[in-house]
Amino acid sequence: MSLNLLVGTTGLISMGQGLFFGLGAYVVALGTIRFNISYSSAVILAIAISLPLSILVALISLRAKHLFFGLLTMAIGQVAFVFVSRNYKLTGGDDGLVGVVLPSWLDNDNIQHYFAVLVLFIAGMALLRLLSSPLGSTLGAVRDNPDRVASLGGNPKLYEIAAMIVGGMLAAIFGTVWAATEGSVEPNLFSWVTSAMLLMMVALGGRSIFLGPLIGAVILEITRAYVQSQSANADLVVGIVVITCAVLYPEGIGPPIKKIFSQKISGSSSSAKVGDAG
Amino acid sequence: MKPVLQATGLVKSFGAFTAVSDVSFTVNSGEALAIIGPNGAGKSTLFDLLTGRKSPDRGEVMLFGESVGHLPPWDRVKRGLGRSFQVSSVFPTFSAKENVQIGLMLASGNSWNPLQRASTIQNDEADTLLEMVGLTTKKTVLASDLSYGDQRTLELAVALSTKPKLLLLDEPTAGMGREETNECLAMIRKIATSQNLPIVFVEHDMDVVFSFATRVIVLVAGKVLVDAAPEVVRKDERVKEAYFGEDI
Repeated sequence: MSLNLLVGTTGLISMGQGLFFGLGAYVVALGTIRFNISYSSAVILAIAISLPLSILVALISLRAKHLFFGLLTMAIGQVAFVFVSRNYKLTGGDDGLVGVVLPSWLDNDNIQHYFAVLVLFIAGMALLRLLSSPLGSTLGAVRDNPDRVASLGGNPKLYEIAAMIVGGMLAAIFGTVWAATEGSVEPNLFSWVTSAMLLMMVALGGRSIFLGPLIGAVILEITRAYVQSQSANADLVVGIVVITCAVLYPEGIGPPIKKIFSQKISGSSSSAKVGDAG
Repeated sequence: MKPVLQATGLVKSFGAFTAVSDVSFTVNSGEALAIIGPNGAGKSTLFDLLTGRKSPDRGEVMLFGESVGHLPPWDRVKRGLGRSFQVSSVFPTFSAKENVQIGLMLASGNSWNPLQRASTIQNDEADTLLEMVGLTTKKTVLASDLSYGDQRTLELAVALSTKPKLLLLDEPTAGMGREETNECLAMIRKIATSQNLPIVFVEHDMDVVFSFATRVIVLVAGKVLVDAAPEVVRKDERVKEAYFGEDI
């Protein structure tokens, strides 16, 4: 969802969104395990750190465009990955950190899942509001035609930086929730593999619709969980599923699903109108 | 009275090729200045230097007496410079009205508002601009679904949304049929007259140039060949020669 603000809304194909997700998760893990701060304080700290970090990443990566922008974001994420995975004393290195300390009200599997859904819902509503605002429209305009935005008095780069800040902070928030629900963190959260998975979710679900990334995430995760329980070649099967979907639905699975729903809704409303007339 | 726009000694080279060479001219209030010339004469590069898309190697651009040569495009827009592009340049995934609203929001600073609904912002102003260019009935149509002529017209409305004090039009009638061209020209003339808006335009269609321009600059190989009234330019032997002997 945070990545789609960059990819779908603003047209920035970031390959390093895992950096912010990992940041959120690690700040919570480090804060609660190593520095004995509360979960809520760690969440606030993670959001606070994600702000300057996202500005820094934006200033570096937005010097390039298109593919090179993506590669720069990926490279920055890999720097964080290497830093975290080699710093055993602080971060636990490759082993990560286990035993995130949670407040008593959150120390329950069911509550954690409801909490995750609640955060997703609130973040989704906030994002939806942003997308329908003038700022959201302007981000779309930057994606469509940055030169035109510049010729109308807007600095496209500033809007792209704004999108990266919001996207980075959102990803950090989701990372803090991950740390709470998993109870542990590992350096792979920072790696390009995590970023690629997030990008795959967006591409699979469709970047042109709001719920696209969510649809992509559900399909990818359900497929993976099912195949892992049945076969040792889970990644191979997931790869085949992704390729098949990409061939059949190049714009993602979300748009055709939305079309079917729209047709059903318009069909039922027109039949209701006929019923009314009768 | 200060000129609206003053370009002095503009030079722009790309490697060994000099696209614009020591170009100087002024635009005064109420003028419709046409910039013409054969392909490769440097018209588009000159436009880019005026609007800030490219920086000159040498020379100065003054807007209402203020030096703007060092400013990026968006800062020149805030000082009253509006422009349209040679190739239709709208926001394809937005409706005609949303295109105009985006222009209005960018010009007014509302574009940073993250809370209000975009559809409620500057509604009346957007409707007025669409009515001015005759697109009221198509305001909900996606810009990418509009005909080419309508997209060019929409681009004009979007350019006007920044309330420019000087409008630069890059081939405003390119790709239009004769009827569409005449309608577009009549509309531009009406807007320019009603708002006392000076216009600088690049154009290949000589009928458009001589029916609309109050002054014509002929560029050849990046240099100003002639800067004079249309009737003078029409009779100038050097201009005819530049156009390979064609009557213009």
